[in-house]
Amino acid sequence: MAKEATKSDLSKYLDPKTLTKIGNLDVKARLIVEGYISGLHKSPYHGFSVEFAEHREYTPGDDLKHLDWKVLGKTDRLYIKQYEEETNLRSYILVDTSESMKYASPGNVSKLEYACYIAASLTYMLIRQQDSVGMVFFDNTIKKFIPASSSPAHLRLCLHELAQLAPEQRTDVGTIFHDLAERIKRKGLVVILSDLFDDPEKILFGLQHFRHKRHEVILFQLLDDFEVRFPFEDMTLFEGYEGWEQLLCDPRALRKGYLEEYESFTEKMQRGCRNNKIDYVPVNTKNPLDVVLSAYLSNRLNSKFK
Amino acid sequence: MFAWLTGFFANPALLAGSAAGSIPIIIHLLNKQRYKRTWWAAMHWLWASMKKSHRRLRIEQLILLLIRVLILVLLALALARPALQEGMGLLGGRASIHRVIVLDNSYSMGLQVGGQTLFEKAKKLATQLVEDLNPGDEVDLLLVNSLVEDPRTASATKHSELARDIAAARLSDGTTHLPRGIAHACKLIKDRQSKNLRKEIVLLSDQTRNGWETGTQPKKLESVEEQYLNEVLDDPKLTPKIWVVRLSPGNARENLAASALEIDEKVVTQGVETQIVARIENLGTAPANRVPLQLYVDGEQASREELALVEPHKPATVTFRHTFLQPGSHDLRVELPHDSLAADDDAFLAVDVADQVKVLCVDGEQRSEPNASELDFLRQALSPARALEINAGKMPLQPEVISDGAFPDANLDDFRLVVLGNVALIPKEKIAVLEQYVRRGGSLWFWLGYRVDPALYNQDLGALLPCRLGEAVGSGSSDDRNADKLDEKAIDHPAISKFQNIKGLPLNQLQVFRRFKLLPKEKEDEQKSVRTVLSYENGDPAAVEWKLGEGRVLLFGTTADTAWTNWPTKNHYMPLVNFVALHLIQPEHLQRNRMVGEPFLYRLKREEFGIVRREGLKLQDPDGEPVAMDIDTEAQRAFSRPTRRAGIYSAEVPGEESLRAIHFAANRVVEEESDLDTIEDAEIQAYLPSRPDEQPERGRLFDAPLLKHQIEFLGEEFADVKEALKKHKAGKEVWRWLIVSVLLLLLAESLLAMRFGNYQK
Repeated sequence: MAKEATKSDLSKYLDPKTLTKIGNLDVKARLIVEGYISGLHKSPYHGFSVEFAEHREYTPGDDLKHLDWKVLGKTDRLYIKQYEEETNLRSYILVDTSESMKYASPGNVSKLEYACYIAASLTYMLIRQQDSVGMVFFDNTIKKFIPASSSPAHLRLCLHELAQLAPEQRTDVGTIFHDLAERIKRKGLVVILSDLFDDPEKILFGLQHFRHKRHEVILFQLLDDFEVRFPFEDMTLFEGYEGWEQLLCDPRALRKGYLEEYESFTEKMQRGCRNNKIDYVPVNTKNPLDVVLSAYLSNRLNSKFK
Repeated sequence: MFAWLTGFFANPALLAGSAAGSIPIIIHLLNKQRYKRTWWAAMHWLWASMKKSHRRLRIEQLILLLIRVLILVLLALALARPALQEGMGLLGGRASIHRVIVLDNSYSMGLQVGGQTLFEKAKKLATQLVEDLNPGDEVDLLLVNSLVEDPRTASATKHSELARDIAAARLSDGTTHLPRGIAHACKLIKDRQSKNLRKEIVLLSDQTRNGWETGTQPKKLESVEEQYLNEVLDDPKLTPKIWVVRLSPGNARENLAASALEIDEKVVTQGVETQIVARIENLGTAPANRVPLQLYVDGEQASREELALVEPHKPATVTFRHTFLQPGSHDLRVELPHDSLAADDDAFLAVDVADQVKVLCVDGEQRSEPNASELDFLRQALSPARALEINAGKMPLQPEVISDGAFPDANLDDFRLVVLGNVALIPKEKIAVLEQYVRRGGSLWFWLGYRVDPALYNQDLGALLPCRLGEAVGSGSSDDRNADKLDEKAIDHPAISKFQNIKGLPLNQLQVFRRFKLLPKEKEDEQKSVRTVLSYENGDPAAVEWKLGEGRVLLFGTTADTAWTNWPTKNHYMPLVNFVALHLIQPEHLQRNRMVGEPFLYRLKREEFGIVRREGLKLQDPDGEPVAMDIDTEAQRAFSRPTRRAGIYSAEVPGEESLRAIHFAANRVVEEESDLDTIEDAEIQAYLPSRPDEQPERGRLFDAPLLKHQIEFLGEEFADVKEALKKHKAGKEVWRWLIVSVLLLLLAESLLAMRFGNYQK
């Protein structure tokens, strides 16, 4: 289906609202990745190994340097040479499944759902290029640790686990990061998907641990649009997740203070991450997913050409 | 409680609106109840924001809430129109006023001081008092003298009209009664029920003593006038503050006044010299010498006399002699040289000059022989022929004798007096005519005799007679030594009082041989108006008289001829008959000479009645202004309202052939009003109590509890008057300030709400 689809058709699947209409996470992941890829001139997604594996029909966006000119001369058809990639990248995707991730403003997808889309599409993309992917679900404890692997079966496992997620506990990002830094032995890429509702000092301390273990870290902070803008007008009773006490207030009166808190947090995180060479990407879950994927890929390219 | 509130608020009911002050609180509480509910993840930021701004928010909310509550409470207060009370007065502003200007227009206000009269000064002050008012104020003008004139009122928007009324106000010829002015101003305040909170009475008057006192006693009010005062003093909302502005008379103290012009004779006849008496009063303190007086008859100077000396407070009289050549109505005026109070320098008289006055004599025993008829002697005593014989001059009365048989057909309107002598029977219908005749001003004179049945008289004529008739007593014989004699000392009655001046005619020479006993009337209240004219030596009444309506009825208990008395044979008889006849005759012009404040009466003649009833009777006052006269159809007379101006009034009565001019005269009551003696403020205040239960040192001016501090006395300078009125703080309204506060608070609320960020997007 996707192959026949035009470029613009595919890119619509980058919009999280459209994705909610599709039931299967597997399909979603594929659509996201292919939608995204189809928008690029140069497909960045190929193996790094030199050992030839098979031919594949050219699709728009593939790099022309991998075109098999011989086959073109013989058959007048466009084939791409594919190589058996040697798995040299281990990625771990860390998904925050705490209760606060459940939040979704009206008409929007929840942060957790958004996180799942990202996790699924990254997994899909990585496994397709023979990289091994591991997955960790956490709240205040590590709920699930799926070791890294690159087999297609692993992809299915990961997607299945993502589909099963049900958030319930508080976040304790800082502590979890320490644990995980210890558990992930080989150095690799650590992708963190979380709303980071914790003390920034603790978070940064945990992230430093990853860096200390020589992991590359991409930190996606997922926030709902309402959490960024705080657009409430009427008297509202706010009921907190994760055991927070409820609060009845006039939101107009508190907006200024709230936004200050938010900005101060973001600034602290940005400064901390820059100092630790961590990619910190704040993500508004209202926005299409390509922002996230681009951030990921640019990180990969940077690390490659370093 | 409510009454107490009404002292502070014009619309106390609207105070309930201040409950609206709870609306913001209720909205606030309701808002707390009505909220949306949402799950929220970023609670840590929200709580952090909350903790930082919690205290500030609470204070801001409280400030806004207070402002909103204050706005509504102040608005309700403003609508209730609160007023400051005396002693609360640091706040500025100005109460709405209902001001009653009481302008004394008694004639003493005509005193010339420094080139203008006090009344002109008072009018100028009154105009300034009207101009001084704000557009929302109400003002009434009341002109008072001994009478209270109709108030001129000006609605809040038409002060200029009242100013014109003030300019047009004229002096009256009435006297002063300032307590009455105050009472009627109170009535006006009560009637008007003005919403304006400050009630003021400003009385503009001179300083004369007579405005407040009669003799040495304070002037009293009638009970209904006291009631007016009580009504406003009972209601704190209506209680006025009273200022009395007293215009100074300067040094003026001396004043001569002409108090009356009179003619002694009741019946004035044409061609006979008539004595006209002018009465002059010196109401000053120094004697007046060589006072020239002029008499004007029908507007032309008739004669001139000089009074050598007029002692203070001793009335002096001057007698003018004048012969009227024409019959009909004449007007007379006596004039003094003008002094500083010119208004009281003349007196007036309207007089009817008749050719002759006809008297109807009804003879119950007419005989052809001389002196045998019952009324022969009487007719001769009244007749001119007999009068000329005894050199009494021309007699004004012309008797016309008819028999009792002819009486029922007689037209009584042609006669001023009807004498009934020994008449046995009067038809019932004629009795009714007689009664009406008397009630309209005619007079009846009864003589009795053997033909009179006392029982029949008592029964038929009971309503007319001044007494009941008892049995006849006495032998009837002229030789009777025990015959009753008249009491020569009992001659006080005005009909016979002139005998006091006639020596040599003692009344006890008059004997009565037979008479009816005169018994008092049965009803006591009727008996009260009965007077004994003549008495016998034993104390029994010989003649009694009473007033019935406008006329009189007089009854002699014996005969008019020599049958039962010796009177016709005595020299007493002629003067007695004439004195009594002239006493009984009511000259019509007497009712047309009145004092100022009394109404004029005019008895319409039979031939005039119909046409006057159709066309009305137009009276002109001394200034030529028309004065309405009402017609009393039952009594067949015209009457005016109480007169206000002194002088000669005239009317033209439509007759059968031509118009007939008649005159009326009104004279001033000068004894008090012309006396320029002044009274001090303190003396007036001594008539007022400080507390309601206190007895003032000089007696009470008002029975109502009007207290000393409620009346303030002021001089005549407008600046001082204005200042004094300004000081009166009670009733000062503050609603404008409240509205300004509300507007400022509304502005503050908007600015603060914006500042506090509640409306930021």
